[in-house]
Amino acid sequence: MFSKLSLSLVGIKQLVALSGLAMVGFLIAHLLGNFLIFSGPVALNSYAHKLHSLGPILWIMRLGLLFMFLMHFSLVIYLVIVNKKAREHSYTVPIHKKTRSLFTQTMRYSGLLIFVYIFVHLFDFTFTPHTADNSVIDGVYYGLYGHVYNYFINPLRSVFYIVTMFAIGFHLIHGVQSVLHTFGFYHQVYTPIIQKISWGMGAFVAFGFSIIPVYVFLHHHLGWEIYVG
Amino acid sequence: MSANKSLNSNIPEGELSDKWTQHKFNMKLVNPANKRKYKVIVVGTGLAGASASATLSELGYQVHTFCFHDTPRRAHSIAAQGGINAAKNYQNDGDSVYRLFYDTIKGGDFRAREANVHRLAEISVNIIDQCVAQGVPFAREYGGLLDNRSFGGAQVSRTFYAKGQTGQQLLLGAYSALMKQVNSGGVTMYTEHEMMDVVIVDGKARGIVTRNLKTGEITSHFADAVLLCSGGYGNVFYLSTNAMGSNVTAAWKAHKRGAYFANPCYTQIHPTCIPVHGEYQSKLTLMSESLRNDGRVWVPKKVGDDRHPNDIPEDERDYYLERKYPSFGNLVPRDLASRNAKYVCDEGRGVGPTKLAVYLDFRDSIERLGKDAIEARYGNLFDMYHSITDSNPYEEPMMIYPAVHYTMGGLWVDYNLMSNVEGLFVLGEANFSDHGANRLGASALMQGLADGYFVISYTLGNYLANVDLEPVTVEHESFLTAEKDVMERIKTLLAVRGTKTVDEFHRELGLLMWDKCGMSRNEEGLKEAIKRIPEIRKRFWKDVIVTGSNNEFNQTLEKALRVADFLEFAETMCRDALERKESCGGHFREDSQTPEGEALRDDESYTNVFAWEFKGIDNIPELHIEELEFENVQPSVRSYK
Amino acid sequence: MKTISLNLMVWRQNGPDEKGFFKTYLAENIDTDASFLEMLDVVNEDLIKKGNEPIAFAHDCREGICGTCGAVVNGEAHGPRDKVTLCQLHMRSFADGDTIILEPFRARALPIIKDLVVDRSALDRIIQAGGYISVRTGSAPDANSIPIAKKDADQAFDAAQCIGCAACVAACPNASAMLMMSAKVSHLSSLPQGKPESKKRVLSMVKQMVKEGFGGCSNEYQCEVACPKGISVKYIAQLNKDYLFSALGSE
Repeated sequence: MFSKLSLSLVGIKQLVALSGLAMVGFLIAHLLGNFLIFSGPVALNSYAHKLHSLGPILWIMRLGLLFMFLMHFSLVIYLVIVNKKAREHSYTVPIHKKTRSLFTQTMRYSGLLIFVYIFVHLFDFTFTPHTADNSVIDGVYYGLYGHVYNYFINPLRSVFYIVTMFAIGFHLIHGVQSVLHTFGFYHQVYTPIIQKISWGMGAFVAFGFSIIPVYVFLHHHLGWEIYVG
Repeated sequence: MSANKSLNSNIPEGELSDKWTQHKFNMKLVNPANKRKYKVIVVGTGLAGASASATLSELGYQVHTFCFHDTPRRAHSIAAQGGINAAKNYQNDGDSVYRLFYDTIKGGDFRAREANVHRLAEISVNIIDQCVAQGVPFAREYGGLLDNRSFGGAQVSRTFYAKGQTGQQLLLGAYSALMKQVNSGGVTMYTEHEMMDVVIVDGKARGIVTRNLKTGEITSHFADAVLLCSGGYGNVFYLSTNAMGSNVTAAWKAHKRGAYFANPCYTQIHPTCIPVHGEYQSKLTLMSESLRNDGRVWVPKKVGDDRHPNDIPEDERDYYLERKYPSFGNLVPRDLASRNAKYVCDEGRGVGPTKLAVYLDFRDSIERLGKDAIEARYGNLFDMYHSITDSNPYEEPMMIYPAVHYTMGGLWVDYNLMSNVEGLFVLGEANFSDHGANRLGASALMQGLADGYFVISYTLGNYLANVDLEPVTVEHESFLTAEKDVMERIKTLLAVRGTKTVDEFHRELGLLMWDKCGMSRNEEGLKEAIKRIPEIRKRFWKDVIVTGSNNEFNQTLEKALRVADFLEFAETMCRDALERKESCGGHFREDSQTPEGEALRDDESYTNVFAWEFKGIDNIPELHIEELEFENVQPSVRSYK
Repeated sequence: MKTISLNLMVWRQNGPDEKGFFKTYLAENIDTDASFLEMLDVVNEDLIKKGNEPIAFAHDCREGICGTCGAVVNGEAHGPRDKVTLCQLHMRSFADGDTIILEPFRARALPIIKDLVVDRSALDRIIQAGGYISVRTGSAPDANSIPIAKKDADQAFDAAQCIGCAACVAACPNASAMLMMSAKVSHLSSLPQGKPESKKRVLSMVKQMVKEGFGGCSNEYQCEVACPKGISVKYIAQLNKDYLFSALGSE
């Protein structure tokens, strides 16, 4: 069955959609977890701690995610190559420029940016421990909370982060509804609604993640108290 | 008038309704194991050609199919709009095989063979079954059963349709059957191959010579039988509703190799087409006749009245059809509607920039029924008209003019669809057989598919089972000569390098034909045409420009080769029109009309088929006559007063 | 009669393996009521008279149904108007002095034969792979023996309207033939007659499309914009679904 699916462009596309969908699920969970930052260091750190205490289950999830990520990325690379090859000689006047959506056209660029950022992100947070160097605010060690806080005090990092989060948003605006189309869902009434939901999800993810550096920025500069509960 | 042995129509004995059944039983069969030893060539992939190729291949014959398009699905059958008739009587409104037979014979103005037409009516029911099984999406009622409409003035609803694209859906059905056989290896498909000649060996059709339109390569193909399914010759008029590529070449080449051309003067002219608007115009677009149900046809009473139609008061308008035919009014048959449009334009009362148009006005219907009702009935047609002409028919009258639409004449065939040349079968519009002097609406699709799916499958087997065929190869002298002739013709054309384009000659021929051999014909005009056509032809061969070379994709050369054949064919067409001194169906002779100006048939002298034998390009063809016998239907006179 | 003059930049290419280039022509005094192809006729007549090679372009019925014509006009397959083929595009859609850039449909699977003429036999081979219902002539039951809901019949008709012009391929950023193929798959699978072969059909047609060198679908829906018959991308979704179930369900 798998070999048949992977044989054709349609099957490959469906695997891309499947892995994309899995990562969207992860993103939403990740974002909801991130929102705990508003509840202060205790909430956020204990959530992170709980996750880590899952042990092997966490690793299964991590490996699953890694697998989805690799599948998504490598199959997309394959599709891009095949699709590029399908038109050896490109048009002189860009084809149907007026009717192509910005989000759709930028899929591969937003994807590429996300790809790069994932490594940056993993390096910054997963592989860099929360040390006294990076996780202390006003002399107090706050673990993950402090790490994130300090990270986003740097406006350059924040801007790069926000740009990437908008890339993810863009990616989802096309991606979410595209997934459903790829799995064969089309309905006269629901498809336009799904397109709106797609937009909503893209916006939610972009703004949801972006609000964190903004919060940290304001928090820091307006001298808000750290809520310790 | 000579009696020729080869003009035996081979109509089987027996009662009309039993002839086909009995004939099917009497015909010899080819053993299934032997069928694959026979090779059959099919030229053309319209309804007739595609259905014949698929069917013969299913039976086991080796089929080699040729079309000049880039894919078989482009054949002009695709453009038929209205529908396909079948005597299913699903409506319980009194239809029957006999009624369809009767209507077709009468519609053909009693110039078709009873036996052929009855067979067509019998087969019509199987066609619908076949097409539905193939997945042709005919219109349906809410209960899930097939819908029918009444069409072309028929008193019963027997027309099956798929919106306004019935021809497309039927052709795609036949095309898919053909593709299935290509996939299974039963059919070898040659696209972008134009048939340039038929090859006759020992009096039998044994192959063809083709030109590969992509490379210019001339190739011979041998076979045990050749089927021509190459459509009609309406483009002899230059402007017609036919596709640009539709041509007479295949039929004409067969004619030059001995096949008789029957009734070439029978052409159908459709009254509701969008008029010509400029010299650059390449083609005429047909609009459904149904428009005449609610539109009123008129021209100004005054000659040279240039006012906008909406500014012309009621009493200065001449609703000429309503005036002349009070009981039928705007719904008179196609030929009357067309001819009268010509008459008013000849009087100088035509409208529009070219003065070759009449108004079709919906003002009164819109007032009476409301714009919504008119839109529901004709919305898509109005949109099409608006898009082509940039004029809004809800606000100002449409302009219409007749255009050549279908040709009833074609190569002569017997009951088995075989021409007088043994082994050369002719199917669909390319033959002359079933429509007589005039074709009823929704009958062309029926005939093409009947010939291809259900007639040829039997009659070809019978021919092959009875004939002794010597093995031939393409090395045979006849093939070599034919190839040489083709090459010569091409070389000569390319060498002319004159000053006038192919289209200029084609347009000149078309105008002449339209004028002298169009809607209305007379002796003097035809004689003039017969004098002028050879002159145009001579000038063509002296002064045409064909750019490029043979060994490439060369559309100018393709066109030139086709026009060269039209220039020969047109003369025969005019001769046929001249010889038939009566008016019947699509052939109206001004010297044969009633005092009221109606067509006057002469059953005494002309209940027959004219079949012409080629005698050389500048020689007069020899006329052979097949007498038509009406044993079941008595010829009667039409009246629409 | 209103006339306009235009600058044409036309892709000229002598054969599939030759190098192509743009050549500029002046189309003068073109009647705005003329169709796009009639405008090309006028330009060609002039070229022929001067002994030059006319611009090769495919065309036949000139009423928008045969699917023969087509080119990319200023970056749009079949030109700027919706739901018309090139032959039904009229010159009133252009203004005096406009420059029109005319390119062939471009895809690896549709090699150029000459100038604006491309070889679309790959589409035939996709149909050959399964775009039919296997029914022998003569073996059909009575046409009314299987009722088909009007909705299904209408849906089948909508999909069956495809004219095989390849504008969907031309407009697709990936030169994919998904719209054309999915229209055929949906046409046949929405009818009871087409059901028995539907699994095999979708798998083998998709396989053939890949083999011909078309790209895949990236859900940009440009095919729907370009389609002169307005065929909906919902048929691509339908194909995706049919494909998924057929692939999962096949042994």
